[in-house]
Amino acid sequence: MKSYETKFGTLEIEEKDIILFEFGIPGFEELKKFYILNLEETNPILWLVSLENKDISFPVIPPTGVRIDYSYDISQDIVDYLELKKPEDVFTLSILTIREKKENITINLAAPILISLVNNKALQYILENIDYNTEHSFNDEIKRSASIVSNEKGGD
Amino acid sequence: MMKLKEVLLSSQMKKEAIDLLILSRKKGENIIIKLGDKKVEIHILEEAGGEIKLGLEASKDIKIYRGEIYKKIVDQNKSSVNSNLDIVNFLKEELSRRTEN
Repeated sequence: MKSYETKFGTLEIEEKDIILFEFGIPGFEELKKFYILNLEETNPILWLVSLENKDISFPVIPPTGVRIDYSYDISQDIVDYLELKKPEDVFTLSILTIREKKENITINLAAPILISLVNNKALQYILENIDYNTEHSFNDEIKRSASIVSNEKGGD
Repeated sequence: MMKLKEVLLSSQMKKEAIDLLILSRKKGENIIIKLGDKKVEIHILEEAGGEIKLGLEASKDIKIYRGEIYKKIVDQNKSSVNSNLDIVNFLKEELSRRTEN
């Protein structure tokens, strides 16, 4: 258990809960150690918090809660690197950008954060899929997902 | 290789230190980049209409991106870090409203 100075104050974190971005995150390649902070006040938004730079943290959210049909393939070398044996071995998060106006909240679906629950390694995986971009409107995606769900219900 | 002198000039204007190895290649020639036992081979395939077609040979664990795509990810990450925390409460309400429906 060690103390870390973060954007959210001093956190007591166990070694086993540290997420290791061996290659950093694009734009922040020098930062390797992160922690997922679950703040009740911002739930379901989580925070990917740097343990090496207290000014750095990213608001993140599991993407399928926002875009219900989000899907992509993970290349074999990444599957091997993260030691994934089954789909539940990976915890996926998308980075949010929260600007001044609430209408301007966007979610990056072009580059999900993949976290291995097997070895705690993580990376930002840049997709080649042109259906997704870095700035999907958060509100539009929620509405779209809600209508997909209600259409499925109506179709029964 | 095209326009590297211009790239160098704009970097100098931004006062960034940048080391560029400048090579000229013709169609049919190639470049090999090595790091330890890893290798990337760049083949100059075609040059037509101001566009240069490159063939990139590298092991699967080496990731190759178009510069503007990688830059978009970097820029988006940097924007995210500056996120406005006050808005987060609104999101909370919005999401709980949707899931109730």
